[in-house]
Amino acid sequence: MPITVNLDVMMAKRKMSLSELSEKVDLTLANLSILKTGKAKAIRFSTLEAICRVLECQPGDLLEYDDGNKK
Amino acid sequence: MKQLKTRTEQILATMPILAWVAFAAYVIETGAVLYSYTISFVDPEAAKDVYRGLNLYRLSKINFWYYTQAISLIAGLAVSKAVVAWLVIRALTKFRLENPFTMDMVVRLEKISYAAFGTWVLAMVSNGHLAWMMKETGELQGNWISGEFIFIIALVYVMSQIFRRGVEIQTEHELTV
Repeated sequence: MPITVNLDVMMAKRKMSLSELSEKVDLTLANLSILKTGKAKAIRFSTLEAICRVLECQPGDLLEYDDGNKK
Repeated sequence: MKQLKTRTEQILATMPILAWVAFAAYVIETGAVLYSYTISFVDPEAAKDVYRGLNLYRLSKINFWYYTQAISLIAGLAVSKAVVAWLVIRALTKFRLENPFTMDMVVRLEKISYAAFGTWVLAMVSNGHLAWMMKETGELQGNWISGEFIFIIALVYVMSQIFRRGVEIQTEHELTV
């Protein structure tokens, strides 16, 4: 999929662990792991909103489009 | 809703039993036909009642090769139907109403439709052969599958494709965070 989830990058910038984020956004570790590893097929706006609020970032900081044709 | 679920559960519990009965019947039919055929080598009178009153005695007297062909087709059809019944048993025993959309179920349904299609093709060949043999010998009685059976096969195949889509939707749902 050409959409990359940069959740691990943002978590590292904010020095936040997955379990801490899981508690703060009220998502299971399994679901966050699906998102972090790029296995997710879709993301709810409510989830995106919660993650952006906790990590103090924009949706664009978490999601990146790459069609693989970059030089 | 609960009553509906209970009824569905009851039907699902009963269906494997019916499928087992059908499977046993086809296996018995195959065995009986082949047994009668083997015995008819020694005692030609055995061809008078091949299976449930099917009399192929005159045909065996006219031409034993035609008789062998008829027996092969009858036995082949019974085996083919037994295979379909066996696949239905396997699918029904693996089916779980709580989680019906699995790739395993899709593959099983597809296998059933392919096996049933094979049975239909064999039945059509048998019908053609029967008509030819009747013209040749003026003999033979038959009780074969009708051509309309193909619609049920198509329905099973369509169901398997619906299940395939169901699996895709379920996977998508599970991977939505």
